[in-house]
Amino acid sequence: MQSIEVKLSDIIIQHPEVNSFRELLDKVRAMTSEHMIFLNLDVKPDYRDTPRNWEWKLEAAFGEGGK
Amino acid sequence: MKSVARNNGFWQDDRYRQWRHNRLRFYPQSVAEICVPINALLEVTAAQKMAIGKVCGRANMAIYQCRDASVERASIIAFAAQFGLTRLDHHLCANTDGVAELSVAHDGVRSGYVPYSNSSLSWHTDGYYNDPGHKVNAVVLHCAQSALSGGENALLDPELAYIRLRDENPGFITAFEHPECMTIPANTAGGAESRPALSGPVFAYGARGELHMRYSARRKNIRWRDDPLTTAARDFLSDLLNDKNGPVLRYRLQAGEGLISNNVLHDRTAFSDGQDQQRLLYRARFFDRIEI
Repeated sequence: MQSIEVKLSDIIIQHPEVNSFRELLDKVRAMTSEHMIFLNLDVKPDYRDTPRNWEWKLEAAFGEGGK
Repeated sequence: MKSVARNNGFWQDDRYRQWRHNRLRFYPQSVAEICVPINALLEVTAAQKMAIGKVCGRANMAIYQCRDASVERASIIAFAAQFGLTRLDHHLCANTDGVAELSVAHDGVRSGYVPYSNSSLSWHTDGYYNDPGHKVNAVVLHCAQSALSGGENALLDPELAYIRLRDENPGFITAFEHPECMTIPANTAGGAESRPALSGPVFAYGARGELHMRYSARRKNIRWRDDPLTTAARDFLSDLLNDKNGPVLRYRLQAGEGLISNNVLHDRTAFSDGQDQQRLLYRARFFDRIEI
């Protein structure tokens, strides 16, 4: 299976309508592809509600997605 | 790159502040960041298309670089269609297919216009003289042959200009939104009026809230609203566009390279053709915005 890397910065810039960390989690959960996806947490998302454990939260949401 | 739903007061509320933050954070710092190699105009892979989309998401423009530099006019239209650009602006100097050839014209209707000379072109967005029903939202500028020297473009995303103007003075935005901010006198070249005088704002918003900028730095044939805030906004914008250390990107397109953009601000330096090297750029203007 082909794999693709998705950068978090690309998700943020492609979705300017996302206005909070909670909404970003929804976008990450909604990611689907016929290929294997690797999520690259290349930047810290600095929304007002970004928690300290933002990496863990994003990885968890990513794991929940596509099911 | 998805179209942006910025309606319902986007530009006035908290969402603007978050959007502004991310636009500045991810705006390209060098022209290299907006260059995307592709195979050929008619051979764009899904990954290359996605790469162009990502760059456009950051800067509203991308420079594509074809490994195969050969070009036919029809392939420019087909290339643009892959990015949702299908509604062509068939303007006065374009050919019947809607693609204009930007080269030095020595006679004919084109010879009366600066873009078809080797002179420099001041800052502008394309189609600033179009009526509101025919806004040019995207442009593909493809280089078939570069000049012997010169012909460099300076480029700036209008959204960056908006942010800088608003940061300086929110009143500048209000001034540039005025429906009589900028007036283009009627086009009476050849004795007949081919276009009536047209007033409109610099900044306008599309049906989905997307920003549209209409601007020309020309000193002739433009009438600006006589108002201190408009004058101050123009001066500030002019300083921004001419700031060598500012956000403006500069690039000289080579044969096989092109700019695809949501009608960004740009200028052009003067150029010199050689005996066997005459600058030729193809330009297609669209009423659509880039969609991937």
